[in-house]
Amino acid sequence: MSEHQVQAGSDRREFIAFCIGEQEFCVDIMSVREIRGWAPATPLPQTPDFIRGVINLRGAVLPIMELATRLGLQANEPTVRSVIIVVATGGRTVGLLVDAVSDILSVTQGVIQPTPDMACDRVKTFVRGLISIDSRMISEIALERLMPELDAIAA
Amino acid sequence: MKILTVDDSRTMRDMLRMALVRAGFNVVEAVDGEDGLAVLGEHGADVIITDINMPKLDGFGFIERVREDELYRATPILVLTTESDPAKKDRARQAGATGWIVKPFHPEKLVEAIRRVAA
Amino acid sequence: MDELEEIKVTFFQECDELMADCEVGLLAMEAGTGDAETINAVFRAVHSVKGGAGAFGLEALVRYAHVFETLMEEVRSQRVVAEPELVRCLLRAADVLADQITAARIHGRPNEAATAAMVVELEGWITGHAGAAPADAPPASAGLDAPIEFAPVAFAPMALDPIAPASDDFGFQPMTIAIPDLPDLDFQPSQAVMDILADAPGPAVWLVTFKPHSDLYAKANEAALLLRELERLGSVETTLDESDLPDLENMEAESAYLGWTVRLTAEIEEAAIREVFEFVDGDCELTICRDGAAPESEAAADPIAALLAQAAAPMPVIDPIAPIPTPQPADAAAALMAELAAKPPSETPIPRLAAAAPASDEFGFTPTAAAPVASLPDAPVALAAPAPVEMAPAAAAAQAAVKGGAAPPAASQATIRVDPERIDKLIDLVGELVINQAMLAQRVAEHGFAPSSNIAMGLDELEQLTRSIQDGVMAIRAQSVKSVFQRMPRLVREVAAQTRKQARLVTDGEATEVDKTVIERLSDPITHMLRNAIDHGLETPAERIEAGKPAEGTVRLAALHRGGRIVIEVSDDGRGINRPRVRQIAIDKNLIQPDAVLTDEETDNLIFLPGFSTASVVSDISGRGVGMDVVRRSVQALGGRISIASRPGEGSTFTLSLPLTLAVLDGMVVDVAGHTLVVPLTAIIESLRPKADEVRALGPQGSVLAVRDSYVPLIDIGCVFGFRKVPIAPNEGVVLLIESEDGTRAALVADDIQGQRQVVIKSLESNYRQVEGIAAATILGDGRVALIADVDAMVAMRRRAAPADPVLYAAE
Repeated sequence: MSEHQVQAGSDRREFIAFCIGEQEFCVDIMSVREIRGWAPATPLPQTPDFIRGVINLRGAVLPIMELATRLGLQANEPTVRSVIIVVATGGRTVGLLVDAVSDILSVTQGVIQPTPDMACDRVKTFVRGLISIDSRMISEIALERLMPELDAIAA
Repeated sequence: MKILTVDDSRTMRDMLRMALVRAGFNVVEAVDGEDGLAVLGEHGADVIITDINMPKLDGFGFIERVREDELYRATPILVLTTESDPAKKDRARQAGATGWIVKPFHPEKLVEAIRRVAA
Repeated sequence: MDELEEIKVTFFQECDELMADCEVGLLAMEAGTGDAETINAVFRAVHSVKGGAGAFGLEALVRYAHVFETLMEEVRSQRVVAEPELVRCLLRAADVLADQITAARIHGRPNEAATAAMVVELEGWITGHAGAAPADAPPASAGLDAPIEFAPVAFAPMALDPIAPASDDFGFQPMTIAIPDLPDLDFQPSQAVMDILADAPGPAVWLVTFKPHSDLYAKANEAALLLRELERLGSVETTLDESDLPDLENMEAESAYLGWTVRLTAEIEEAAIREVFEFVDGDCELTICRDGAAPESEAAADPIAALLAQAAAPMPVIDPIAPIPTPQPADAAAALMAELAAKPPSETPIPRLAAAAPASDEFGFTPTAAAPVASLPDAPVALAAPAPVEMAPAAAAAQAAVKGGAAPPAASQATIRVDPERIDKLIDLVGELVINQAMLAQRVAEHGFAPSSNIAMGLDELEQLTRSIQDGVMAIRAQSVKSVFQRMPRLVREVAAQTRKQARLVTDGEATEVDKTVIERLSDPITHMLRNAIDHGLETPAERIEAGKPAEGTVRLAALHRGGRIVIEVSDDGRGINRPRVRQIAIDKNLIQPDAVLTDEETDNLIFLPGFSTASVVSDISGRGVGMDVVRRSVQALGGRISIASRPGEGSTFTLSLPLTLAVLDGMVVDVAGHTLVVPLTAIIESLRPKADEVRALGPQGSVLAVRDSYVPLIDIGCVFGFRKVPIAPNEGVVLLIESEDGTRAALVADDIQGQRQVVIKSLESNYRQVEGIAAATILGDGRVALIADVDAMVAMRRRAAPADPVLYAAE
């Protein structure tokens, strides 16, 4: 995942792919700071259901977002296999709780298809595009759209 | 060569020190005339550079006191003046100043002035 | 260049201090408590600002400061009387100077109109009074157009070699030429050499005659050095004039008898030669004239001639030794006579010929007197070598303090300057250390070590050490509120002028110390409170006189420590809050119900409600259009409280309280419904385990705790935060009796208490957002995040959740 590789092909991008239930999603690898195992978070009061709470990340307090809930999917209780993908977006660092990391993808921009104009609003809001590899369909999460909600509730 | 700088302005002391140290001098500092006499007594100096407007003991008084001391009768003293105010220069010379440096000084001019009064 | 930039930072720091001194002095003058030294101090402050500004080429600042300084000089020399009107003008002039400094610091443009107006005003004072000045007064006209010597420093890395005459234009190297004896004082190089020396392409030949008076030596000038300076200008041919040298018996120790004629060949202007003698002007006879045309240039390119020239250079220089005190007659006489046999009789100054480099005395001449001769220092090589800087007194004192632990006597400046970032970093690290230490302690406890075991005791010591380090580091960062307070007199002046009020600011407790994190947050609320006090609190002078008060209102700004917090009070002796009007506005704006029953205090504090503004025309003075609600919110975000109390006709008092630091906090760690929470210790009056009969039901759900003879509402922490629906029985848990800022008490119910602990405050906002009822987060010994409760907010939430009188909500 060196930057060199990423830059080698101008339209080539790398993604971390992960599973939530049966579905696969991915985020741009440039946003990912680290991937950690699940550890119980300290719950916060007065907080939307998709925020599991906060954890200590080397001295910083990091909110953990349960991505399944955020996307309107069935959330499973975290297991030892669950992971937290720590991403930086919009000046904040946030942990995304997902079921498991499945792959690292390297694709050209052309492979990414627009999200079909269909169904649920949440999908349209949070999925930037679809990547098709073999027979898998992987949805790219629009990280910046997960977060502004935080400001909205904060007001 | 050890140079004593006497100035109540930290900025000016820092400026002097920077220029003097770069030119290879040793520097001791004092914050006013009284402090200057104390530092001189403690550390000695080969050349003295002093401001005029200072609290407690001003530059004129300081120079006079230095000249009263047998030990420092022949120590070159340069005064820092902001303008080339002839009245101030003359008073400083009457007090026993060897020469003067007009602020804002250029480091080269500073060193030149020192060279002119000290071996 | 880093070093210069650092000094520039120092300069602006110093400017702040100087401007504070300046203001203190001017205020003392205004109050009539100033003396000559007060005026002197103000003069020096302005003078120093100007001096530093000149060094950094801050031209606009120099020009303005110069006018200011000129007027201060007039005041200082009593040519202008420091009447009250002038002092007020000087105060405003100081404000403008402060603006100029700020503009220079941020590379911004100062308000030119204001500056120009101020200059006109200052000059009016200067010229209006300088007419009567004595003839020797400095020129009074000091307008912005007046020429000011100006030389921005351009520090370039220089290899300045102050002593050794470096290679000159001819590539000459300084050499020490030992001259074995002193037979001919009028030593001259051969004419051939001179011809060659004079051979530089078209140089002028100057004839300089120079004869010092004794005054020259009395001021520690040295003829030899001046001659050496001439030598640097070009090639010289020096002739000693000893004709005035009297017989030994007639010689006076402090007199000067010798003169020199220097034939200087150099492509220079006369001014350059005059400059050499600048310091001794009037202390010597000096003539400078041209000496015909330069000889024909024949051998200039001849290497042999060049060699010859090299051998001849540097030219001999007369090197007089500074006045030697008359030797002791008895034992020194013989020695003196012996010496006199070998050289011309002379005591002071003793001229001697030496080579250019002030090398060791080649004549074996040793001063016989014990008194120091202004001995020429050691060889130039040693001098030019980079030498360690002599430790400045301040640094030495600091070191002494570190070593000895005692304050050094008469330390002129026992401070060190440290980049604040380094301290911040240190505080962060110590915070991590505290957390790590707590984690370690917890692990040790989990492994079942007895408290008396070596490892547990060692950990205890570690904890105490850690705590000491933390306290020490926090103390380094502590600052007095002075830096904030000293900006306020100006604000008061300005706001008073804008609102046509007369206001006097009195400050108290300036030395009160608080962590830097808090200092930074004090300025805004204080500004708002002061603006409000003058704009809304104080009456106009006419109204005040009518009310039987002095025309000038008093605004008091005070800081004090109370209950582990810093309290800032802003009080005025104005009209107080117009409660009926406040109430009416609150009703009109739908902030309270028309029939709401409010205490006076609740009414006063309505001004903090969002959307409230007592001014019918929104004034931009009271907080630049920002309401008190915003102030309260920003203060609360810091764990602070703000409230107002008022007495109609007598005035109002704003009270702001903040924690002493925003870095650490002493807290009570409690368990609530399986969660761990920290309750700030400062809020807790006491913790207790209530007996069943002390708990009384009140209404359908509520209950109160009987504390001595009063009843305090019981609040289940778990319910407030939604950790559980049904409160636990208070007598099965622990009650923390707390008092909120407005004095109301509440009893918080937790399941159990873990203990008191100092915790490091971690922001929730940096990665998430503010959470109501939660002040911040911290990291506990097990590495997990625990939340720090905001007890006031919890009480407020509880009130709101209860289906109670909406007034309570509104008044909160």
